[in-house]
Amino acid sequence: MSPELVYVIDDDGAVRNALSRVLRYAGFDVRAYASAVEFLAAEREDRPACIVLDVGMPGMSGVELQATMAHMMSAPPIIFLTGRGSVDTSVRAMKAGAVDFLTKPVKRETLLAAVTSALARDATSRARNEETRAVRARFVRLTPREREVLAEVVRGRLNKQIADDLGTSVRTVKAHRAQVMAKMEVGSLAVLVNVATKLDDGGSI
Amino acid sequence: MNALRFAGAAALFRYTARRRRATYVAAICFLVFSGYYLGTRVGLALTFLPNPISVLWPPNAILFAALLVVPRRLWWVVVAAALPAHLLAELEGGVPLSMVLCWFVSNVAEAAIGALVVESLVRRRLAFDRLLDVSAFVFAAFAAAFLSSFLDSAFVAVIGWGESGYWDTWRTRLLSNITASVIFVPLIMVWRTIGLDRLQSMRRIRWIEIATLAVGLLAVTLVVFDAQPTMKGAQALIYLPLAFLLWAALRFGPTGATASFAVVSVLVIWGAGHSLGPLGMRRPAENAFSVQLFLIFLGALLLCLAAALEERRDAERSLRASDRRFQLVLQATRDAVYEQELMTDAVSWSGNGLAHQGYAGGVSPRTFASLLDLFHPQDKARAMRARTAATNCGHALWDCEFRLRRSDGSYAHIHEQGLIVRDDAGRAIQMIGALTDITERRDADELNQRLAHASRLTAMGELTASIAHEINQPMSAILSNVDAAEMLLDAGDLDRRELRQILSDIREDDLRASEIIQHIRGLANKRQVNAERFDVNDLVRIVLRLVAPTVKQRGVTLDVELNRVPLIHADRIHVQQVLLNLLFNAMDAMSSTPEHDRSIRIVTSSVQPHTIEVAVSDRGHGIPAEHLDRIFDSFFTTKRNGMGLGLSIARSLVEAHGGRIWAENNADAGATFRFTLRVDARKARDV
Repeated sequence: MSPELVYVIDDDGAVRNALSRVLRYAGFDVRAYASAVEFLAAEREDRPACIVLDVGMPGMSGVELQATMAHMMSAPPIIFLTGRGSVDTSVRAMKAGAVDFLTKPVKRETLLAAVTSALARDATSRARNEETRAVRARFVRLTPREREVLAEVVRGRLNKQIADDLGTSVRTVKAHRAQVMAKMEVGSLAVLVNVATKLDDGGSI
Repeated sequence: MNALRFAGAAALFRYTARRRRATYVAAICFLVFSGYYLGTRVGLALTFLPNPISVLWPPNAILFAALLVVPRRLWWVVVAAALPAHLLAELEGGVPLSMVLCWFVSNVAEAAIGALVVESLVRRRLAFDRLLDVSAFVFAAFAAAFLSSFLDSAFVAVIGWGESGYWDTWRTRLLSNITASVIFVPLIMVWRTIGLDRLQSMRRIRWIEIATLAVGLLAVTLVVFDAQPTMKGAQALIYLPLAFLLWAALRFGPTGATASFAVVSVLVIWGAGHSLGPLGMRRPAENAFSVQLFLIFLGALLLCLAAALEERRDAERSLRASDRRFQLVLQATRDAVYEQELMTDAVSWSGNGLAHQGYAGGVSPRTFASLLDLFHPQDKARAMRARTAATNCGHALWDCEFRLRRSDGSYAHIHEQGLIVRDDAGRAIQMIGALTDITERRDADELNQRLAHASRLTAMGELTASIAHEINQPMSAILSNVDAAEMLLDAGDLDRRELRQILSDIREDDLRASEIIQHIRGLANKRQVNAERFDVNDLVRIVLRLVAPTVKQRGVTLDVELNRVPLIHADRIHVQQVLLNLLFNAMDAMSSTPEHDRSIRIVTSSVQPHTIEVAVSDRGHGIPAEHLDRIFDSFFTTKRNGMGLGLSIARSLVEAHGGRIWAENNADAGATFRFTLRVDARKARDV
């Protein structure tokens, strides 16, 4: 497996180089950029990553980049670096989803710990995204009738009730239900309910 | 072209002015002629038969009023207009021409004497709304009739007209002319200013009152003076119309009094002339005498009453207006004004009292003792000393400063100015104090004070943060590089070239940091801030002298426009520094501009009521749009050898003075830097 990726974005060349060095020696793959725009323009790889981002940069600032990235799917988590520990900026950044907020100069241990935890978080969220994507892909295969049955089942309704509601026989409902279980690739009702919750944010049910 | 148009306009103006004057003169002629003629008809109609005794002779009064209305240079017009009316009226009665002309002379003499006396005593338009007006008028009317009657009687005696003796003629004329003056002159003078708009703007209830008054007045006067007396002792009824006359004077002032009195007069004379009413019971001559005396005294009394009431109303109106102004001033200044009765210690507040200190409504202290409770304990003794010292030393004023507890427990800084009211014996009986809340002003002063204590570096306030940031960058790089070197060493497999690179990076960052520190040290020479009042134009001139050598050396021409601006309250050196920085910035910006095009324009102006603006425009490369909002940030520079501090220092200094600084690109070339400063507050208040 290829090493984990860290993007370093800082307008100060000396700082950028030194940080990249530390991260590289610690075994990470490092991509360094001098500005937020340069980073956005670059092609990104589809693997776990995190961003070490300087807050106060000319042009697009770190906070602005964070705001831009918030609209993207699967954006890597951001570790902010700042020269001045200004409270309001850090609070704003954390609220907007920054995983860490480090003050320059930053010690190796602090930096590496932050990066490691950010990467772990990215891995988890990528996995979750992956699972959601898979479930959604399976859900797309259901017929409209099967989706209705799924919704009723997840709500905990009995076959008899579902049949009454949909105006069909219990047998038909049972058949639909078997189809749903098969297509969603689940073995039990409990797992089906669990999977279905992942679809919630998609709003399909 | 313009000159032509101007000449045309002037001619037109002269023409319209002339035409307006002509219209005015024509109006005078018409009014005087018809008034005079009508007056004679009325006079003749009201003679008491069988012997024609004129009780009332209005033409003279009308002439008198006309002379009062018309400016003196147009009196001849009045006289000229009256003559034909006089001739027409008198010759109809078969009087010889010589007598008619002599009467005209004495009539004109009377009117002229009256008008001259009034004008010399009353220096404004006679409006019968002041007691002085009324007394001056009564005196003038009497004097005019008194003097001219000698002349008149002499004419009569010389020409030999009529059978009465000299003194009879004199007395008859005197009384009938005074009566006419008292009735008609006030009527004309008061009513000539009543515009249609005033009548139209009257409310309906007022009209109803006027109608009631008129009906009542007419009915009562007709019943009392123009009917056969039905019972004995009815003479006492002559006072009945007085009720309505008083009503008119009370409610409608001189306007109502003069009108209703004229109506009553005509009815009384008519009744007496026809042997009706209480004044028509004797022989005509006696009746005429009593009617005249009755009307003269009643009229004079009524005019005095109406004028006194009007004066009182006027005083009340101006008192109310001044009270409103006072309230408005209190609202505007947020001052609290109180009166303290020294006998009772009671305190009463004007306006909102101590509302601004949180004591809204009626909760401001009602006694001075409780007001004193609100004083800061440390200030009580001092404030009291100021008051007692002023009281005991016979001063009229005192002022002191103290802290006053607000309703929320915090303290407001108060400046009190007071007035001591004394009785005739010089004993202080009342203190009037005005409390001005100077907390904000003091806070502002304190802020300035703090600014004054700060070094130039601190005046740059926010700069420190960015300086820290700027040093932090190399420090941060150094730390990470040291970390990296350690990791490299720990890895065992030593790459000497890599390590050398790291060390060289560390050296470079270290040098960068110390360079920044050097620069800051240069800036940080301590200096006190010293605010004073001055004219920014003087300062511009001084600065221009300072930079003159550099300006010349760099081949820059200066274009200076110094407009009259109010004084500002600021630190000279700081404003000088700002201007210097902007000038050097402008010159730097033009280093690559062709020499013949290098010019700097400096303009001072007053932009808002309390703000002045200084603008420095260059013809350099301008500012890239993306940099416009960052050029004042510290360490932002586009110059090869600039520190990026000049403009940021300028901004810190301007903002420390409560001003604003900004830059904009010129339409043709270069950029304009503008900064504003507040006008000196004390000066601004005077304006």
